Amino acid sequence: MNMSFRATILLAIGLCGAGADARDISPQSFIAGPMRAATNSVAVRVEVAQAEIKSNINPSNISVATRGGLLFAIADAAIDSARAKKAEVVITPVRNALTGFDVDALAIDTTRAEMADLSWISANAATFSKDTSRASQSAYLDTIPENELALITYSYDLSPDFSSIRVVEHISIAHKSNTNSAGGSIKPVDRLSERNLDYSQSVTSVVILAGAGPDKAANAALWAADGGRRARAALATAFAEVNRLTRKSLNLTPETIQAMNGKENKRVVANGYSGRLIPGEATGIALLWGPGFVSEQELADSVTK
Amino acid sequence: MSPPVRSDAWTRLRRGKSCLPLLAMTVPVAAYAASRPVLLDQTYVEPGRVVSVLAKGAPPCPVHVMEIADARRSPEMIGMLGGKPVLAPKDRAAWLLSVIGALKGRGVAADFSNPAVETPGIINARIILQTAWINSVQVSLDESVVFKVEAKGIDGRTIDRFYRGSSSHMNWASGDGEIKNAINIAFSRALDAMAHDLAGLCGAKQA
Repeated sequence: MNMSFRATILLAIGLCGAGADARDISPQSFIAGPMRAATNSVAVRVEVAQAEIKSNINPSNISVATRGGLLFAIADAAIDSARAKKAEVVITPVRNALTGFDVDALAIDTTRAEMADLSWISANAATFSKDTSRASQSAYLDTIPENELALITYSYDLSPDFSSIRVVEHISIAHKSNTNSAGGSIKPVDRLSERNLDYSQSVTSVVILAGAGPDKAANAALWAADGGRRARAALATAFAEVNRLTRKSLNLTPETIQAMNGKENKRVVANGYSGRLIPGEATGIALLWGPGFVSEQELADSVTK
Repeated sequence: MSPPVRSDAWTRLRRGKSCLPLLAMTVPVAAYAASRPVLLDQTYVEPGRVVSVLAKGAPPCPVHVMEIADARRSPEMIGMLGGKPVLAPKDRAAWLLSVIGALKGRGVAADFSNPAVETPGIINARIILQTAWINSVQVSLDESVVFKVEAKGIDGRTIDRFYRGSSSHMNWASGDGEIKNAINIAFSRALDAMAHDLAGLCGAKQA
């Protein structure tokens, strides 16, 4: 009796575990069968809101450490503002060196390459916008002949210590009808809300500066040297990597996601990202599954010499 | 006997009883303000005192502007602050004319007549807007402006370079006035550097 009770408990725990795994896989994290089976059904809009490479700061956490309070929140704001000011000064040589380097074109070309052989993507050319507001996206969704819109949004920035350049690509697919998955009526702009999207997934590529040190200005100088050779190469590398990761991401199924979430893939933290380490990558590339792929690699020696 | 209790609006407000509906009313207004686009003013306004780059009493340096262009991929956009788009004015040609016209206060008299035709005896310049961007990092408002200037002086000397104006400061409320002033500060800094070099090309005595 005692044994069967234990067995029942263990079975229940096992089933709960299996249930939790299945629940972890959001239906928005993979392309559903009907969408994949359709042809020419999803229009594409590329979005890059920024005009130059962004700086980043490590936000002050005094108010968290002191368990809140308006005074500490004001102190946090003042510290963050001062840090942002300093970062904007340090980043200027990198921005100067990247003047004329068309990152928007890189984003458009990357998207074209990603979508080239996907039959469910519309044959109509992808459009480009710097307006990432939901109002603009919703208005555009109403103008397209297709029933769904893939918003491919890119951002690129330097880490707070200027030791790496990061490119993030987020793909959201929204449907035209003003209904949610439960069949309820929604406002047109809410079609772009995270909860109403048919697909939502990010991929991130982090390219680390070889020989980066703790001095932000020195790192910025390395990125900016020789007309920004390293910064340009890092951006090109990162965009090529998000291209590879997006293709991988768009091919995911609930089964492959579940396999990546498996315990045999160790959970690791690297450069501020945590996720399960995915085996089988090329030497020098660390690929994490967060969910969402995050890849980290050092800038190739051939570029830095 | 208990003291009389005041039941006027102020007392209710102080007790917080009528605060909640008041606060509830402000939420949709704040949400609307947070996502409503900001349209920059048609005319550039100097954000502060302008100082001429020329020595006191020196005549202004004449520059014939052959072209003012906007090379940005999406010239209608200046940036996104959270979910709020910041838009360039509808008539961008007039807007850029007003920006470059502000060189006058710095000692450089820009002449926009007869574009595309070189005027002999003075500096001829082409000015191209490469970047006009406003961005927010945590609680700061950061903006940058980049012009490409190609200019030829009388003595054959030339300018072919980028002029950057940028600034960063506390973002108090993402207010319209705050945003418009911020982008004008960036323009003003780029104009200061541009005026310095153009006056140098002119051979004018500088301050």
